[in-house]
Amino acid sequence: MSSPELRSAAWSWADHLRAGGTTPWVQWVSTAPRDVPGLQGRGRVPGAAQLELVRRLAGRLDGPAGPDFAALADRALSRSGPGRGPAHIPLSWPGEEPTASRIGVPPADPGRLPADELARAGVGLLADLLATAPPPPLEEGVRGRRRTWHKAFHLAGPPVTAAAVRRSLALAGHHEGGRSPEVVLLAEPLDVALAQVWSTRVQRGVPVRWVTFAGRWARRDQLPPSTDLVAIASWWANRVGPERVHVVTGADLRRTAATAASVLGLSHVDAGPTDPRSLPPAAVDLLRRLNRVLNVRLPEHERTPRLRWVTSLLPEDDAPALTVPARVRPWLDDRAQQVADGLADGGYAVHGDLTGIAPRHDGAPHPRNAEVLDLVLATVLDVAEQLRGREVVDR
Amino acid sequence: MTAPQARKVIVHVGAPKTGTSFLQDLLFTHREVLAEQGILYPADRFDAHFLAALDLMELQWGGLEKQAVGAWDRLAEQVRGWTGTVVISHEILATASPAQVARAMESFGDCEVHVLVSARDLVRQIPAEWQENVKHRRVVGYRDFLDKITDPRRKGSLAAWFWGVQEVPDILDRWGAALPPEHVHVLTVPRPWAPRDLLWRRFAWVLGIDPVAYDPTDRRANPSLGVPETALVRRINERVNNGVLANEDYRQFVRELLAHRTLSARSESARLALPPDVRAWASDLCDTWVEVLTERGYDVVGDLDDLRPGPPELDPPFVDPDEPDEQQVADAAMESIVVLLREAARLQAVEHQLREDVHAAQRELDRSRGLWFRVKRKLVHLADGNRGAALGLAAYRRVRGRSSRSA
Repeated sequence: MSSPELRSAAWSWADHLRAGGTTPWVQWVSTAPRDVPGLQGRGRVPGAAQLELVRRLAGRLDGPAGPDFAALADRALSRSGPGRGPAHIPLSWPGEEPTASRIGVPPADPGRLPADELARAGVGLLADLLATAPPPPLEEGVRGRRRTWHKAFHLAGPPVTAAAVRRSLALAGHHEGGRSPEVVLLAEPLDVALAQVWSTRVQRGVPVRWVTFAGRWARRDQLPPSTDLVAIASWWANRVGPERVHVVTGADLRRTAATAASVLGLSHVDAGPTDPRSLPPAAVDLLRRLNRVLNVRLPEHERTPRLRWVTSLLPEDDAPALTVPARVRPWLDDRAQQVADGLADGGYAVHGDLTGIAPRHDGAPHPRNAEVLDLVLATVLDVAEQLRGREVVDR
Repeated sequence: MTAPQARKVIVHVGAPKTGTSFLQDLLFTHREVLAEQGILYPADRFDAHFLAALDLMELQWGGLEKQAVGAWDRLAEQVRGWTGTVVISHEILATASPAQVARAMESFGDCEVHVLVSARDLVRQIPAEWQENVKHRRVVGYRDFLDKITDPRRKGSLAAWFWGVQEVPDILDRWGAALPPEHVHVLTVPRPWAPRDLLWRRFAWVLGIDPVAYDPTDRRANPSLGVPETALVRRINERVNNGVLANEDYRQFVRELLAHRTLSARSESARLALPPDVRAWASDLCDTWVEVLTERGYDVVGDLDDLRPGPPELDPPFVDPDEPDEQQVADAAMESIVVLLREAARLQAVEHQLREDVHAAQRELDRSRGLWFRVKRKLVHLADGNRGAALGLAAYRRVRGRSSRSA
């Protein structure tokens, strides 16, 4: 990026993007003015990933870009991607062999940068927005009216499912707890259950990758405590008797909640968002990447409310779940069989089919970078919009 | 009236494997004496500048990054508040992006900024970096590593990191872009046969202090491993990654106890070297670097020719660590087992002693309590495995009117 002509073209492209332009670099540079007074002296051109990030953000605007978008673009262009990765990717000149220079990161056409690199730049921008402004207060969770008489019950199982059932009962006025409870174990296919534990930990600030997370449990030959239903059932059977322990399997959260309520003889209400939330893999991976930055940017008491707020903005949808990496599959199949056998042998009331505990193996083996990038772009614009005027912290 | 001292900050930004740990230990150990000379090494712990670098570059580092929140701003505040020279030193600063460098420069206020890179030829640096990767839990084989870093596209995190911290002309382009060349110092690491204290003398020259006043012997270093020892650690990584050993345990037992304190002492084994094809490529690249650095007119401390590899006949013979002598690996493994057994025995003795202390305290406490408390406690323990006792305990608690579950 030493050529004055290139610098001039690059800065004029940056100005175009700041104004909401979406022309790709290769197109721009073929027609851009090469010698605009003042542009060559503007210093080092921002990185290719940062420029392309702004172009992609501009492409998602509903209307014309205003000063707010220019400010957001300036913020994006003045920083670099967080963490590990190329320090600075220079723009390539059309026709230039990317590896011609033997020194420095090879120049790149920004339109051909991998989604992972753009997501890295976008997550850095998102962390910046969050760090410089306090999040709006979250709405308090809705609590159903507590009934005078209440049945003692306890729910256990994968965290997202348990939270959804707990909330649907609470909205109907039935709150968990009490002496000598009726115990309902909520069973899910074991890969779904494991992905729920990963999602929950990420939502609580852990930056671990899905593949690493799943591999660790396999290496230890252990299940996360909330998915080890045999151990949970045995613990409760020793205290309340096996006849008060129920196992519920269901095809989806709504049916599981209905079955659990029916087992307990209680009413329920269809629940909205839960905590932890039921998020698609790309959303969880966005939070994972964000955790990596927020963990080093903010102390815990400032990090937690911001993370909760961003989490609340992410969409819940029916995106296919994750499944475990291929090398972990045989282990998980074995463990699922052991769980099903253990529950069948325990003498517990089973509501549904224990074969439903077997992993489905029908999801992606890891979150897809393109989907993560898509969500990063949407979230940056959403957060920038909602935090407008709230910036008070100089970081 | 004496003239006010110049306010100056010297930022030593790497590169890794150029004696940085040795220099940082000297600075840290002598920070009070240095302060008397007007030179501040602002660190309340040995890794203070490492944490500041994590903060500046928003880098995750196995959980340590949570201790780094705000560390750069605190460091910069000390720089701005000191009248005299301040030294900052950490090798991962080499990877800072232009935007991060700009933030660092701005944080120093009106101090005169100098950037210092200690540099060594690639023929010595490449094997050392692979070994450093292995000591940080990586399982990449040597040939794989070489293929990744010699690929001109530099794809993937490994190549990005390697060149980020080792490519001296690019590091100085990022760190020195806004500085006059005389404020950019390239300190060349002496050849292996040079006097042992020459590196320190060169560093002290940049600081403007008398090197003789500080004892550079027997300081913390980052010792190197031989071929079979590195191969062994890589195999250990394959077995203990993915949740078997937590990062803090890995640091204590694998990196410190095994790699640094045990395996590095095995100096008779073959040393890591480059295969001939990569050596020729690296040597050629070093020549390019020397040309570029000469053109830029930086202040050179030492001799830029030190950055050219010595004659190949002086290299250790190439021994492939991907196919090491299995007998030598087994010997290193046996020595490791013995060391770990001794450590396990030592820790067991510590645990026994602690148990004894706890029991003694418990006995003392019991003596001060009554018979009824001891009966209740026995009942609680019994209730853990006996349903009848559990029901009895629950009934007792209902009668007593408390909801606590255990004594």
